[in-house]
Amino acid sequence: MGFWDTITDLVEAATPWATADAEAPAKDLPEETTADTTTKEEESTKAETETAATEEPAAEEEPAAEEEAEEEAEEEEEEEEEEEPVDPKEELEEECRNSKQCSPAKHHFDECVERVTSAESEGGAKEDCVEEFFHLAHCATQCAAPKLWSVLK
Amino acid sequence: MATAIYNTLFRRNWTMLGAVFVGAFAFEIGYDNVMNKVWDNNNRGRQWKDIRHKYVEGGDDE
Amino acid sequence: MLARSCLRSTRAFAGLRNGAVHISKRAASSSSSGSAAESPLRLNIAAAAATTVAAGSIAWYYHLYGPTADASTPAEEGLHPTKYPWVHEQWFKSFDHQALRRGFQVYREVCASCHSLSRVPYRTLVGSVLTVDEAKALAEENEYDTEPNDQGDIEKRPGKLSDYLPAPYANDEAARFANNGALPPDLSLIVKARHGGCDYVFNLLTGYPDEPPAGAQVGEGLNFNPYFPGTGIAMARVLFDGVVEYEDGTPATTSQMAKDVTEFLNWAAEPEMDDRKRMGMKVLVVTSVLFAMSVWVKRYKWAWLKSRKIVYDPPKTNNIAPRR
Repeated sequence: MGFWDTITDLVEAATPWATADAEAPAKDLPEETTADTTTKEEESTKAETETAATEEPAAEEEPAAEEEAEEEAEEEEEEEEEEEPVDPKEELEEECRNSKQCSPAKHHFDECVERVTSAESEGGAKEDCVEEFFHLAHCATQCAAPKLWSVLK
Repeated sequence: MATAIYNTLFRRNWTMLGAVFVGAFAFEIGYDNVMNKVWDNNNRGRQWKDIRHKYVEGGDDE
Repeated sequence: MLARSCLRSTRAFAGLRNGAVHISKRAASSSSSGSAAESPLRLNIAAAAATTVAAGSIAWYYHLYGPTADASTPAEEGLHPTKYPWVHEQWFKSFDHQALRRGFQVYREVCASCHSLSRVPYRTLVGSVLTVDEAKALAEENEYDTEPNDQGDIEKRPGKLSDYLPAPYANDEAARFANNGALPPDLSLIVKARHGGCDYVFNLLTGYPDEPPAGAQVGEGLNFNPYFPGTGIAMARVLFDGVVEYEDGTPATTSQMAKDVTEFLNWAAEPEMDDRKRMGMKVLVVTSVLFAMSVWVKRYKWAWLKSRKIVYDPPKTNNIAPRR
């Protein structure tokens, strides 16, 4: 590294319009690979959206069905109940996800999912919803943590 | 009372030294007992000795 | 790199400071030499320039050092584990040994197929997780090498209490080969070895979502787990409701199993915790009593000093002639 390189480096770092990146900017290579994956993802996301659409009404019905199943199990035998225990964590976190406390995170996440899936179906999304998912998951688990511990042994 | 204690314990060096040693031992035994009771009380049902009886007779429930 | 950046900042800063000094000097000299009342315009220009330089240098400094720079994206860092109110992490609480027993069962039936627990011998299980007879029976299920016999051959013998828990693979290479190149870490000290400890392990085990969030790239052979740095983890979700049937009748839900096995792994990492906390409790009580006594003794000893009063009583000056 020559002396002049050092100087240009210093100037580059100190200029107000300089940007700092955690890693080198992506070259053209990833685009080809993403093109392949996006076609796959299109299909999968289409399937996801379909299932999601069907799941939402189903989710409302599910608790009722579970309650019925539990009652039946209680009536019939204790063993069956032991064979199919229901994880309280999922239920509590689902409640928390829909609670007022997490509504901003859920709103952002839903919006992001919608945006990304539509972008993918049009041909290649340039972002993912991992960060939004993190915020939602963090909010939900944090809200469910004390409740969960009061249920578990 | 005070003079009696002084005469029996503090007057001679070896009695004083003995009293210190005996007192230290006695205090440690008593203190350990009390604190262990406090500990067991605080952790009732959590320690191995509280659940040992469930497994020691059966032996091969694993 | 650090040295370079330091150099860079100081040099650049020095250059700027020189410039600022120049400007201010010039402004000051011009205002003092010329009649100030005659040209308020020059004064105004000087003030504006000085303000601009000051504001600009602050903005430049903020640009350089103000905003936080993250070395990695949130996905690369992984979701920070949620804190759970573990009872055994309280100051004066021991492990729940019933939970340890359940956790050991989960380890043996689920985790042990891939993860070793190589620093835990059977003897440590006695008296905290298993009875002597159970531990002996468990040790005898496995074979270990003997010392070389008269011919120098190494034979096999059933395990003893002093043997360590057997590893699922002969060595790391075999473990990598069997697991698609990923090495399942030894779990003996895993609670101490990961940021977040128990919370991390519990969150990792229960945090697998049903499907990765939209747009997330999951590598081949990897699974999406938000708590794992990079979110791509080779271990698939292993704990499902009812995988294990607990001997004490506890419903074996995913979270219950994860909680138990996490507490067990915490025990494996620091089996001395119960004794340590009991000793710590005794030490804290004694030292607090001694501290209170020492405070009292200090106040007692200093009482005369703190309560004294110094009075200046001037001598009567009636008959004394002032000194020359």
